[in-house]
Amino acid sequence: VKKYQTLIVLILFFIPLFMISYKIWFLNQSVLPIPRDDTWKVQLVIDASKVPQSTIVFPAPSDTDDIDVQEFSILEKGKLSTLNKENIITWEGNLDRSKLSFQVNMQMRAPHERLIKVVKPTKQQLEKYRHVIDFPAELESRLATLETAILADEDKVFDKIRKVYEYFEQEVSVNPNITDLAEAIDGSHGSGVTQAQLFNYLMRRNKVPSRIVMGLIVNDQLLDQRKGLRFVFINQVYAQNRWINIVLPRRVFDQNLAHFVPFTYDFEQYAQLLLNEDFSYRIYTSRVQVTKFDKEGYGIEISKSNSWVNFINLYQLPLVLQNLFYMVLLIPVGAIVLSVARNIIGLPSFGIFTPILLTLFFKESGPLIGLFFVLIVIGLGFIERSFLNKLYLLAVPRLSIIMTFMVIFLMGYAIFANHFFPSYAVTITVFPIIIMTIIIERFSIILIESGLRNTIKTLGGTLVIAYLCYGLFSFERLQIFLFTYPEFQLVIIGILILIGDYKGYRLSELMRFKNLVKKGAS
Amino acid sequence: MIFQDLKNAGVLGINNRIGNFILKYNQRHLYPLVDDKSKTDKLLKNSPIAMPRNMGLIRSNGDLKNLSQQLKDFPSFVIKPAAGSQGNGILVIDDTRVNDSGEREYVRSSGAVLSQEQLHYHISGILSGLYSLSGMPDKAIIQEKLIGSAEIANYSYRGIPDVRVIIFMGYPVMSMIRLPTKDSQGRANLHQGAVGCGLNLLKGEVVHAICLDQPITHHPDTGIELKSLKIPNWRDILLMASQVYESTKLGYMGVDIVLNQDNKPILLEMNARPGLSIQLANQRGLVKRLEYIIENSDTARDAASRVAFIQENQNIFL
Repeated sequence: VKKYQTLIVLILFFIPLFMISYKIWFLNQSVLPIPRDDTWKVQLVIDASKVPQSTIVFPAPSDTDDIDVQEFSILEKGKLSTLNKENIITWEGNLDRSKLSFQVNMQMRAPHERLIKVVKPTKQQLEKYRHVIDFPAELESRLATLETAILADEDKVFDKIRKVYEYFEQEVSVNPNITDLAEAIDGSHGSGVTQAQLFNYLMRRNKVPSRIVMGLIVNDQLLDQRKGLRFVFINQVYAQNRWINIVLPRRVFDQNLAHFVPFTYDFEQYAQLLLNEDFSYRIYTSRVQVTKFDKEGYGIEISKSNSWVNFINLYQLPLVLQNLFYMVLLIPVGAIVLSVARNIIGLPSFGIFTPILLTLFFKESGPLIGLFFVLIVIGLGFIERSFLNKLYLLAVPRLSIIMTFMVIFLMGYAIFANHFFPSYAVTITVFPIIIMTIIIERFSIILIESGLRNTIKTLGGTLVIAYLCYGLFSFERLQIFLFTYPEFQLVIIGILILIGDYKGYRLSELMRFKNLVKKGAS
Repeated sequence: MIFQDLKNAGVLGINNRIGNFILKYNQRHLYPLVDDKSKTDKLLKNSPIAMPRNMGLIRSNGDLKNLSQQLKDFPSFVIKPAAGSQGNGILVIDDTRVNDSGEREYVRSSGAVLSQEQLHYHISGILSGLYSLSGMPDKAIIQEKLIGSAEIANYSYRGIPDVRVIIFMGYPVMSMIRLPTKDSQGRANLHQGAVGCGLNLLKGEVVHAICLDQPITHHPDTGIELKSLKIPNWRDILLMASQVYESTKLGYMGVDIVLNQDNKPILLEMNARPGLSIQLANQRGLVKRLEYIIENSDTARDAASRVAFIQENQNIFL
């Protein structure tokens, strides 16, 4: 068999590499799922120094079908600000401090992640959107004239919407400086918000449910604007049982809006504040680097190709199993690290696979909490040695006592953490108990057989290997590569054969036989 | 290459030892013969090779009931795990006495006194596999307590020094004597701080000595100069070590031998994965010697002529 070793290794390398190349170049499959960095940070800063009122109420984004609001922080915490359930912030009291701000992180849901919860507005809600509010009475006759000019005697709802939209599209130009409604009615130009208001009035006069949505459009093209983003005002009218989007300055009629983050659907409530000349705000947005791969989309792409090379396709598994393999496929890679560390570098470790188990544990609970648990285990090991040993108990029950101690400790930790740092409490899994059982047994044996110094060395080696693997496991691209190309596991076997065939010296032997070499050289 | 110096010195590394010697020359099914001392004992019972006298074998906690009855004629004895390694779990009892309340007490070589309960606890630790190579449940062997050679007693702190000979395809290729120290707690275990003295294969004289991998010239506890040590009955030791090969058929092994009060060699145990520190103790690498045996071995030679072969080829083996 030894004769064929090279051949076997070559075959193990060739098959997967052939399959991968075939997929990429012949089937034109994407190499990896597309990374999605669609997480954004939006910061709003309000200059409150010139605003007369002592209370400022301002809306902030909340979850929608395509936006997942993940983190919210109001920079002036404490007495000044409160955040209610609809994500509306109220600053009140002494607003002498000129800057009020909040920051929010949100992720745009990928197409397959969208929540489609079409909630039909109730009749009462729609009724509210039919009422004309705060329209200046002195402009009434001028608006009526305009309305007659646009609509004539049109009576179908959708056509009315269409005609008003077309009027804006053809006749009204955008002029950010004109915020006066009168001028917009007469002069056929106006700022975005003025146009939205005018459109809204025209709709409501005709009993079409209509509202102005204030929000932001975040995308890369807008990131260059140093001075920050401005709010956009979108008109929505309810017809044919749905809300229709209309963005007048952008000539958008009845389209889905990508990357639009609504702040409020109740513009009127904030109109007074927003339209105040002394009110000024700045909005900053930036992408947050969160790599997330569009696995689902890729799965669909693979499933569509009926080629034989795609017969092992992990993307077709249920999500729970996918997540399992996402982790499990890393283990052989960890085995390579382990083999190199032990047989080529010469690091000692407890048991053979303990370091990899530790790595998986670190991945689950975080590297620091993980280390903390390991140290607790070691501490229990010492208790075992110095205290329980004197009770002359048989080995199995004695080690079981230690394990029970660990369970008690876990309970205590869970209760403590849940009280003080709730986010850490959920890191507890069944892993520590398993790892603990393995380590504690090895630990007490090595302590007896090789003494404290060697035990510490071995512990150090184990942790170094575990953290090396942890570092490698943190590359999500590696993880997704292994998941995408399960055939790569054969290459790993090939690499392991090569490492196993290494009969040369270990790096640690340079140190160990240092004295012998010195003598040989002289 | 960074390993060029090691290669030039002919150092045998761990990977090389495992891949090219242990896996190649030691058949796995033969391991139990040396890993389990009760099997070694059975194997060599009818051979001329002397081993410590066996006084009992404890297989289960149930056997402990008869223990004091079994030991009543032997005030001194040694308890060992059958599958132990590196001297772990070995308990040496110098004397047995009955205390004022009529209970038996056991005096260890260190002077510490064990009660009957403590002795049982230690044995049940052995039985549960605490000291065994694999961690599997084990047996406890009770053996006679050997008394070491008076000639070399000055060279060790308590305990009995043992001679380790590496036997390759039946030929002795390198040897050392391990001298217990205070640090090693009377055990002949290099990892725990025992002194290792490389021995000249021709005469059994010390060529070099180390303690915890560092060169030394005098015993750290007794202060005696190590170069003055010459092993009595050296040829008998080499011969015994070589003879074992015919019984075990292990191609690459370590044979541990002690000299009793009459300077007679007694085989203590064998090891199918002998350590590599012996090279440091000798300041010589093993590779050249092993390769020379591979090229020149002759299966027709018996133990005596194999020892003679080594001694004739001093240029390689000294």
